Amino acid sequence: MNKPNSIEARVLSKKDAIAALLERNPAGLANLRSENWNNFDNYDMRDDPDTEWNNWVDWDQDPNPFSNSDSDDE
Amino acid sequence: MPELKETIRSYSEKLLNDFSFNKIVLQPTTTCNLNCTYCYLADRDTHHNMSIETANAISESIEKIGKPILLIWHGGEPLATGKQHFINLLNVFEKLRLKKIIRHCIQTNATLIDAEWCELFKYYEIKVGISTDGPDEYNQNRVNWANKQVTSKIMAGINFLKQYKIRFSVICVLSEKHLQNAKLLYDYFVELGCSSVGFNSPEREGSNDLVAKDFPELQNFWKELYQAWNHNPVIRVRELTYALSWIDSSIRRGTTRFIPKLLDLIPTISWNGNVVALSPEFSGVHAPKYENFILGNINHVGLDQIIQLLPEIHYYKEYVEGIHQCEKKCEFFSFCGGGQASNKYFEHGLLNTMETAYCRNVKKRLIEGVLNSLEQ
Repeated sequence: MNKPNSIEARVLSKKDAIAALLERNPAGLANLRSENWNNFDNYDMRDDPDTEWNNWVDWDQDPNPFSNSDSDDE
Repeated sequence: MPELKETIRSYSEKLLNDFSFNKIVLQPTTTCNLNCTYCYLADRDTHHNMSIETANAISESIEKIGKPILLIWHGGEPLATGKQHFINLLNVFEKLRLKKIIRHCIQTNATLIDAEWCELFKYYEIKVGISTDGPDEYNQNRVNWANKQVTSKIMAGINFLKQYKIRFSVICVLSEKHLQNAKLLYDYFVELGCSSVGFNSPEREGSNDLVAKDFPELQNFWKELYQAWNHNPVIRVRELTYALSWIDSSIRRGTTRFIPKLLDLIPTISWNGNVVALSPEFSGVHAPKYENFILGNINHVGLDQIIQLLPEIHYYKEYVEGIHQCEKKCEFFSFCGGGQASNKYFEHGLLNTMETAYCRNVKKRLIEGVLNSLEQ
């Protein structure tokens, strides 16, 4: 059982807040859950180019994933 | 979802039996034209370039491994290698690049970037990461060997990148001064035009003489950074993406107790071919207890063979012991996967330990800060 103030309980209680955040931003949702950006889903996959040590991601995917703009500055 | 007990068993088994990496850090030169106060590299005032023979040995190893790998050119300052020699090194990997087996990244202080370097970045499709700590008054730890600030040179280099429309990311090392000004920093990096920014906390590492320190103010920094980003989410902030990804993934799983993605070994190959794993910061470190963290030399043994030796390596076994403790006792385990080997060593002198100041500053306070924001 989770204690009410455990990290797990606090994280799980943010369901609505995260849903609202992502609903505002479908591109952000896709990228947050993509294997290039997410270290936490598909945990047995080993082709994720992004780990915590570095700052290199696959820019070709979406340079501004949380932006609503379709423009690309390249 | 697996219970925590099962997670412990399966994750440790994986670490001892399954070695994974999709990136290699390369040191084309020991030299750096800067002398930043927090730098961990001991030999940055020496000048040794990686030889073409060593680059050939690396290329042959990668070809044998046969899977896509990101080559991260680090340093020293990689541009201090000199253009022609750097081109010669890159050309060793051209066959692999054209087959899309490797791609290049570079992490540079930007002070040496000019039009020719930009042409080179474009030709070899090199992803560029810049190290800068913000506006001039926040950039005071980034100095040259005469102890002069270099912000104007960094900006000149960034302006070349913009002129050539080369996308770049930024790594910013935080100091106490930064911690009160999250919004100002976020707005600055948006204005700078980077695609992404990552914030490193000051850490005790390698040859630097920093003291590992707790920064309770970081919790509020992360919170304010989240608020600034949430108000204008036009660039990626590395730490916020990690935090939100973890929270989102946990919610969808219904638990925070899951197995994190397998550790990336990040093999790091120094200018002379020596290979270390777990943390690039171990390269060049004098640590007799761990045989200076050197697993082998690429000029004599292939990388695949070197990596397979890991279960017998003293420091790797100790690191896995430490991870076991983290798994059993830390409620943030699925977020961090057991922390950074280099922080454990440089803070505690050991690898079979648990929590570090880095864990508290960059993991726990980050999650707390983001949760606090989401609760408002």
